[in-house]
Amino acid sequence: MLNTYRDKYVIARLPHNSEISECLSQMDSHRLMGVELLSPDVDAEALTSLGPNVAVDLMLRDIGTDLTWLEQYGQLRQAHNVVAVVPVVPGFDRVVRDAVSCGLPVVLRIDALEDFDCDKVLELLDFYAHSPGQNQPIEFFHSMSRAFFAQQPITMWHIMREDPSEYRYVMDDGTEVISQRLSQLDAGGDLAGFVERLQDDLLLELGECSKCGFFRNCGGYFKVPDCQFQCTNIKKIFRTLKDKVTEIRRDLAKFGRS
Amino acid sequence: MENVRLIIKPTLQCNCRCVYCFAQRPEIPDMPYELLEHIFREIGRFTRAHNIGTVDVAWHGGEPMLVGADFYRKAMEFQTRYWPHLSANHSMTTNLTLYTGELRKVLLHLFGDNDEAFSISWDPSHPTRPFAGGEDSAKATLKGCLALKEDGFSLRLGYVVHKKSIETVVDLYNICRNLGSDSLWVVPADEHFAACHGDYSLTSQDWGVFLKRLWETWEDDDFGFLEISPLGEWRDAIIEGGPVTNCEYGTPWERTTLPLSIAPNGDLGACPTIQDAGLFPIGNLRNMSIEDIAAHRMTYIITEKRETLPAECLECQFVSLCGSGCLPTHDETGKTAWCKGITFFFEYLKSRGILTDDRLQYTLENAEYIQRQIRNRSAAP
Repeated sequence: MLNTYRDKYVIARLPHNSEISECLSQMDSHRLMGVELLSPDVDAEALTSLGPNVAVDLMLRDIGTDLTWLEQYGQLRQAHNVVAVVPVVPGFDRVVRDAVSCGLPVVLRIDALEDFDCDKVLELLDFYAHSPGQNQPIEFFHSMSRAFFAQQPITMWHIMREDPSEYRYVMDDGTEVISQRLSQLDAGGDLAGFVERLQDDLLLELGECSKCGFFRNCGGYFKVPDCQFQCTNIKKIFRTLKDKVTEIRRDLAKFGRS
Repeated sequence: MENVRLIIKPTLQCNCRCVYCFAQRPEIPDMPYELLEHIFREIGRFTRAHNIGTVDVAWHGGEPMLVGADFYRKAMEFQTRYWPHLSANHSMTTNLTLYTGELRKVLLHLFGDNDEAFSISWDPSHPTRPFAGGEDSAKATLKGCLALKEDGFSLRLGYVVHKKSIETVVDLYNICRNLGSDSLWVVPADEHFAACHGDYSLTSQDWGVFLKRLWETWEDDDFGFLEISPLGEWRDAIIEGGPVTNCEYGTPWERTTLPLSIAPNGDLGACPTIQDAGLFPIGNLRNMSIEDIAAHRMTYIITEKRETLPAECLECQFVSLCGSGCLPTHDETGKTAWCKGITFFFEYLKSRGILTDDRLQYTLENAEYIQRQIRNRSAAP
C-alpha cells in the first residue's frame, strides 16, 4: 500500500518489527515523517534503522502497559522524537505521569467524549502547568496554550492530526478517512473541505458553537461525530488553559516592567 | 478641496423592519439612472476642475442591494465614462441578505479592489431585524457573511445596541469572533427618533453598562482578533495620547473633504444618519452645483458643531474622548443624549486605573480643536 503514497509524506502504522524494514524499503526515507507503533512487541532496537528525524508515536491502547516499555523508549528520545499517545480512559493519568517521568512527551486522545473523566483531565492539566520538574509537552494542552498565547486560530483538528486538508488516515483496505476515530463518518463531500463545511454549518445553526469563546481553537472538533454533544466539560478544560495562559502573560508583563 | 466622500442612497426602501430603525421612509421612487448619471458626471467635472484624484463612494440606503444588479452595472458604466481620471473606492452598508446570484457577481466586480468594502448590520441574538414578512433575517445575513468571506472580503459587522443586548454581550462578541469578523461597530439604538420601544428601549445608563461589559469581554480575549469601535479608538487614544479617530467621537473632519449624502431624489445631507433623521438639509443636487454644495454651511455642520462645543462639554474631564458625540444624538444643549452612559463607562475605566488623570490631560493636550475652543473661551470678554 505504501507504494500508492510514494509522493506523499507518510506516517506508517507498524504492528510488528518486521514491517519496519519493509516500510523503509518501499519509501524514500525523507518522505517517512513518522511511525506509529501499535504494539509493545515492537523492539526499540529495530528503530535504529530509522532516520533521526522520524517521529515515533507509541500508541498506548492498553492502559495497563508495562512501565518498562515506556522506559525502553524513553532511552531512545535522544535519537528520535518519541511520543506516548494515551487514550483518556480510566487510569490514563497514571500512564501519562509514567510517560512524562520517562522523559516522553504525551498526546492525549479523547475518543469517548461522553465518558471521559473531566476532573482527571483538569488534575493533569494542573500537573502539566505547575508540577516542578515536569518539562514535557502534553498535547493538546501544549499546542493549545501556545495558540492562546500567540492568539492563533490553530484548531484541535490540526493539533490532533485530524484535519483532512492536511492529513488522511488510510484504512487497511486502502480507504481514506478523516481519522481512526471518525472512520465511520460520512464526510458529506470532499474530505479536504470537511472542516470548513462543518464550521460553516455550526455557525449557521447559531447554537452552542457560534457563541463559544473557544470555537476558533476547537473548530467544532468535539461536535463530531455527535453534533448534539454538549461541551460543558470541554469548555472547563479550555477555560482553565486560557486562565493559565493569562497568568503567564501577566507574569511576563510584570517581569518586563521590573 | 482635496477629497470627496460620496454617500449614495439608491433607495430608501428596505426588506427588513428593524425594531430600532429611525430612518424616515418617504414614498419616493428609487434613484433613476438619469440622476445616477448626473452624480457621476458632476463629480467627474468637479474633481477634474479641482485636481482631485480619488473619490470614496459609500452605497447606503434603505437596503442598497434592493435596486439589483443592473443599477450597479450602470454605476460601473458611468464610472468608466465620467471618472477616467479618478481612483474610486467603493463600499456599502447592507444587511447582506440579498448577496446572491447576479448581484453578487456585479458587486464582486465593482468592489473587488477593496476587501473592506462591506459593512454589515445584523443582530445574531435577538429577533430585532425581521424581514417585511415577519421572519427573522439573522440567518440570511449569516449566509451572506459566509458568501462574502468566500469572495475574499473581510467582515465588518455593525450592531445596534438595545436593552436586551446587555444580557448577550459575550454571545455577540463570540459570534463575531467565530465568524472571522475583523471589526465590530456598536451604536446605541436611538429612541429619540421613535422606533425603539418597550422591551428594546435603551437608556443612557444601559449604553454605559453595555460598553463596560463589551470592554470586559474584549479584555478577556486580550483585545485580540476583533477591532471594536468605538472602544478601540478610545483605547488607542488613552494608550497613545489621542486624539480619537472616530466619526462620532473624534476630531472634526477637515473642510478639505467634501462629505455628501445623496438621497434617491437628489436631496442632500452631510451624512446618512443626519439625513435619515431629517436634520440639516442642504438642498437638492438637481438644482445645485457641487461648487454650491461645497460652499454651503450645512455641508460642514458636523465639523461646525464639533468646533463649537457647549460650555458643559468643554468643562467635562472626558471631552477629549467624547467630543460631544454623534450630532443627531445631541439634545437641545448640544450634549449627546448618551452622555450619562459614556461618562459611566469612562468612570469605570478610571476606577480600574486604565484611564488616569495624566492620560486624560495628555489626550486633551493633543485634541487641538478642543484646545482652540478653551483658549477662545478664556479670551472672550
